[in-house]
Amino acid sequence: MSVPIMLHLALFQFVPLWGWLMAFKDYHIGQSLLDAKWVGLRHFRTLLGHDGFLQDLRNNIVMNSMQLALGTACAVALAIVLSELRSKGFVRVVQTMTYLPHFVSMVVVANIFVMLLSPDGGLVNELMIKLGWIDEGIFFFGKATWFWTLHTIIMTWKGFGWGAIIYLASISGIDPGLYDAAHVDGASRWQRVKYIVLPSIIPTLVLLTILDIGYLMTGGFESQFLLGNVINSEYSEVISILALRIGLNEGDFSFGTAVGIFNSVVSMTLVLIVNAIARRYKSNLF
Amino acid sequence: MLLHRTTGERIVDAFLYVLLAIAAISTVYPFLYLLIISLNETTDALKGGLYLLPRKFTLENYAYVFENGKLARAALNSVLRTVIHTVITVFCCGMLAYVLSRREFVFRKLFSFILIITMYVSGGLIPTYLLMKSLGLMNTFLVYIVPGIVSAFYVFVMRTFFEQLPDGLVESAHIDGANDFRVYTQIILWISLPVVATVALYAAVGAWNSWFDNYLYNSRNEKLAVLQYELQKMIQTVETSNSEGGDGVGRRIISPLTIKATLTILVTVPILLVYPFLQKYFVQGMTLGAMKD
Repeated sequence: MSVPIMLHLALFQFVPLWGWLMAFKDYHIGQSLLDAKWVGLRHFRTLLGHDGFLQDLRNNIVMNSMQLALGTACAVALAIVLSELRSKGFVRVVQTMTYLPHFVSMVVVANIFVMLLSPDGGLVNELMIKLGWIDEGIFFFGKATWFWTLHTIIMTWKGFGWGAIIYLASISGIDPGLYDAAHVDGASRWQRVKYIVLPSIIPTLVLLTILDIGYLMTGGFESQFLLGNVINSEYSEVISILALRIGLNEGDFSFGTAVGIFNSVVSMTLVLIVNAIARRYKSNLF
Repeated sequence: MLLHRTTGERIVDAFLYVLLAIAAISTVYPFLYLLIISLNETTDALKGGLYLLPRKFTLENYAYVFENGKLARAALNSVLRTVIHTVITVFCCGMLAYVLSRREFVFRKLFSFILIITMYVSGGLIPTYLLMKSLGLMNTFLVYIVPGIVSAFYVFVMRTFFEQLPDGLVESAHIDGANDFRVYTQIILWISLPVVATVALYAAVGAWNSWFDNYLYNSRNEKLAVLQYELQKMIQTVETSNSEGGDGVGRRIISPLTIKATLTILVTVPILLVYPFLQKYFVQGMTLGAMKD
């Protein structure tokens, strides 16, 4: 009874791989893929020399690194603080509230922030005007160079509560005997966090970072697509959006496929490299 | 933990409580803000200054959204796709998971390996797009359901659970003459409710939240639009034409501001409704899924 499901997998997961041929050929719509002319690595060379591609690669790396750094820091901090507090009811309420945005679609999140930061009538601008900090509304998403920071804050807002769950799990796995021993030895709270809690989190931290680094150069799409606009595209466009724009909207299928292959290959290579490094410290993924 | 706390630690504690309260409020307040706007009269909302409660309470905005044929249709599509996707996906992933959990199945290693590959390698946007096109799935409702039937992640989560079930259960059913399909549908699914619920909730949230397949494959057929996609279109249009003013519809004055807020709340409410049930399961689901092979 697994046969139909495996056939489904073959059709939807493996047949598209056949389309990778497009990246090595000059394919035009309506043509059979087999008839198209072979062009070797030409599309990949165009890709690597493409101005938009280099810009998008930069945006990918910067935004993903910023998100990884701030998101992880906030998740770890939240987990540690939650584990230090005694009022379990309070902890549960805070947890429930902070992981809510994880379950809401990116469309909703994007809309919320576009509204909050809107130049006319957005809550943030309104408050700043009321406080006398500014005279008229700022169009936050119209300042291209602000996009990286805005994007990082929004993504951290969406993910830090959810991210904290897994760190909380590793903290709760700590042997209580360690705390007692530290207490007997007169360790301060900060010393306990530094010598007991943090070391217990590190394996999880390394594992998750490995997973994320795989997407450093190529990951991201939804958030940048939804929050980005024509004005900030120089800082908001990422590689997957380029593939969509040139590949589908402009109909250059071969170029778009080359971008897709670049994404897959780079992500896999990064994961393998980081995993090999982590293996030395015995915290590898596979 | 500590038995006694010094004054210094109490101060730190108080500080931490305040810090966490701020974090929690800043997570929830944006949702609340939109709720307030959506419940306020439109022209009044445009004046700003709404922070904690609606100033001129009204359900007009909701009435407008519900009476708008396009949005009502989109809501129906969203509900339909979520329900159908969840039922089919959970059933099929569970079926594969059951087979992979049986030790007597000879290809279990091979099939698991193939499944792992699908988690890391994909054809990419354009080859997948062309596949949908050549299968005739473009501009059909089926494109919401068919491509997403199998998810390696769900299969692995369910397999891990099924493997913990006692072997005797399946064996005795076999002796009584039940085939594997009957064992799966009449026994396994029912005693695995915790994991079935976990995966169903993940699948439902995923289906409810998706919009990109609509954008990519079904944007030419307005009748197939889902709510998230309608919202996405609104964000993008208001983004580019920033000074869009009030738009008179019938006797009501409706502005993009309140409609966007209303729609956002409506799209979020179903998630809020399943959230309490979700919470019980998802931590468990996450730890199951994180287990290594």
